Amino acid sequence: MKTKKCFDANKYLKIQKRKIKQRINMFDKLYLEFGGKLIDDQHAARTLPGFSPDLKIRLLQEFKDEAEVILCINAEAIEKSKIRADHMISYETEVLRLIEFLRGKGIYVSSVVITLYAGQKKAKDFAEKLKDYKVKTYFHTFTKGYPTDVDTIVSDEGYGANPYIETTKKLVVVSAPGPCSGKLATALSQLYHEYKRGVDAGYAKFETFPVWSLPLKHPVNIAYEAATADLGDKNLIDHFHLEKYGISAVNYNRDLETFPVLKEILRRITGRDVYYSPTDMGVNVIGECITDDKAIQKAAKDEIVRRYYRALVDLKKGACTTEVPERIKLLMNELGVSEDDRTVVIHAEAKREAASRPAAAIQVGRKIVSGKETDTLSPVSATILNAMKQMNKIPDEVDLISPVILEQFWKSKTRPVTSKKGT
Amino acid sequence: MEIKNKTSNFKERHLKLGEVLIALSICSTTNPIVQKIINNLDKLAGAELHATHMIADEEMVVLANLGINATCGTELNMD
Repeated sequence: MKTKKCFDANKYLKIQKRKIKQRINMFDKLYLEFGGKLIDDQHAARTLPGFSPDLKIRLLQEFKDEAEVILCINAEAIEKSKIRADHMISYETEVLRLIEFLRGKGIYVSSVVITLYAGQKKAKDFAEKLKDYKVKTYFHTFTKGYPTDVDTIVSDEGYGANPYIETTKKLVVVSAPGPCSGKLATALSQLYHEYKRGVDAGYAKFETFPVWSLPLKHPVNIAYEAATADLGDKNLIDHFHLEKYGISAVNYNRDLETFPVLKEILRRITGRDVYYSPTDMGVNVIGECITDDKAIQKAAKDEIVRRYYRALVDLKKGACTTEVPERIKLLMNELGVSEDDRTVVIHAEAKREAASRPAAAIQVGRKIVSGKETDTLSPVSATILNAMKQMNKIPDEVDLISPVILEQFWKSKTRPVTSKKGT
Repeated sequence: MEIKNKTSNFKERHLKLGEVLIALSICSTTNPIVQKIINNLDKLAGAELHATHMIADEEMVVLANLGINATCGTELNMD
């Protein structure tokens, strides 16, 4: 199905590359904190049709001769076997996947940093495993004095206590398998060491959302709040930016809260003020590449409604608190959208009503096809098969799965459980 | 054991989407119509789907891999 493109990916690659290059040229070396998902950013692809999930990788490939990647993973996440929600894999597996994937794309991964290390055994085991990947592993501990005692943070007891990560390229991308992995602390610790070595290093952040140049209540920015409803992130006007430049820009609460401390840390390390607002630290140019704002708004609203349905399921499974769907519902109210705006829901419910069985509906382009649970098929399976028949103009009565094969599957699923362990 | 028999058979009899795709792949070796369907599966990318009852995690993963934006209700399928 072709989705209308509302975002100019080629323009984005061109001007984003230029913007990062400008930032690199301000320093001897730039540490660029990469937020969000480095590979396969489905949220961005859904809210900005035309932004392909691999766009950030294509961007990094533009820098492959002058860039290296440091991956951060929190020792606590390893210890607790934290799982990345979208792929159902652990953070450490995601690190290994990232190393292999990036190397496959010709991007140099120089090291892995295990942050907040406090002797956890699983973290040590993971470091052993990384030897097979021929990547240098470093351990960083909790930064003494963080977050308020700047004198201690910027001293040999604070960032100075961490080992220096050997880097050789002009652009050092600091990324991670998920949030709360210690990317910022790693970048700042490196800055501290670089300055002690006489290198004029800089820091910048690459965040996709919120889009600073879109209005505060733009559906794309609200969709970011919906996506982070579990963290309770809120978008706010960057008052530092407004005061300094008279320009209204959007940032999220945690970056605004930490900015004064961050600014002070950067001043202590570098001896000068480079940034006057959290927005200044960013490099993203997404807002300039939107070609159809109306369509983007619609895509973002649709995403928020989907997030609401998913949050209700998570709540039922005990995977989130009641606040998560409540927050998303409030955001929907702000935008004047409701769960009934999702057309396929209406069709699925109508089918269920008519058939008195669990049902589903799919919308492909403008066509909507529904299906119900049968004796052999789940509602989703039946619906997809119906859709494929319609799209390929195959009469409804044709059996796509031969009865012989179906019988084999059926047998394997309904075989008496005596073949399984009885205890 | 009786409970296990019952619970093990619980909801197991319906072919889930992953199994349907495997079955289609097997059938496609002898049936050109099914081959055509498999070739056109990528046309479902970007489609919207909603199910009235909770979709199993394994089916959600397959839907995501097909690029389908799926949601579902919170009722459990007790049939």
